[in-house]
Amino acid sequence: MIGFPLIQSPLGLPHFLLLGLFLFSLGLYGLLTTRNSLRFLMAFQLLLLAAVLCFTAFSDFLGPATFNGQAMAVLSCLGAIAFLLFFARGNIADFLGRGE
Amino acid sequence: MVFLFWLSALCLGAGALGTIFFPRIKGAVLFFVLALLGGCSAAIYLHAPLVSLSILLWALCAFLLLRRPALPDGSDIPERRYWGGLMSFLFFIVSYRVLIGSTWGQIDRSASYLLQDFSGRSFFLEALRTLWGNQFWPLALLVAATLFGFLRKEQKE
Repeated sequence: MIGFPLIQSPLGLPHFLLLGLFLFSLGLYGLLTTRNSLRFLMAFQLLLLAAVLCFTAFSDFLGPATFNGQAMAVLSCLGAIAFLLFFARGNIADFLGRGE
Repeated sequence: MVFLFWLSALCLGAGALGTIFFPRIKGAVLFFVLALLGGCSAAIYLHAPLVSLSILLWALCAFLLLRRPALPDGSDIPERRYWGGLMSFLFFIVSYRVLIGSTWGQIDRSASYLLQDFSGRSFFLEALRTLWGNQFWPLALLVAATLFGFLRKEQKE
């Protein structure tokens, strides 16, 4: 299969995996390179978004009868929201001792 | 509905790139919200309304970051490479396990390019062809992106 099979083929699981991979790579790159605490948090949340996307895609394409993947995705979203709210109040930046 | 996927992919890609590379931090927050909205529409495409609502709530909460004063860059975290390496390793292990257990991983690849005769041909071209033909190239891309991040970090130091 030489060429661009993802563009030619109908939408499937590999498309979403590729999207998740792109998000994960960018988030990891941001985690490794940035020194700004806010951008650090957003890079981390991009990793979580990639995980949520892959959970949902696996749930839809491989196991549509069960909602395990979707439940994990919702839990990940709620965890990310809690982390974000905690950060917005300033606690995590103080905890890490960064950006001060 | 296919249009919805490409729209969400565009939003996700542009939003993620802007989040990491946009110079002004307030703009980066807005790009982050754009990426979350892209994720929301991708979840709609995947028939997951609860997930889509959760991501929408996540995007609304991300607006709170705009109210936070922009902080100057802090000091580097010395253990960053350790955590980055650990996360990459865990990602490889988990994704390998999930893919092998899925229907995608159970495709018969016994007639793969690896079993063909490579004599007289370029090794690197054949290696690329093997990676591409066996659909392992997303993994190769991840390795390349991670290496690129590490090398860039080394150059900055």
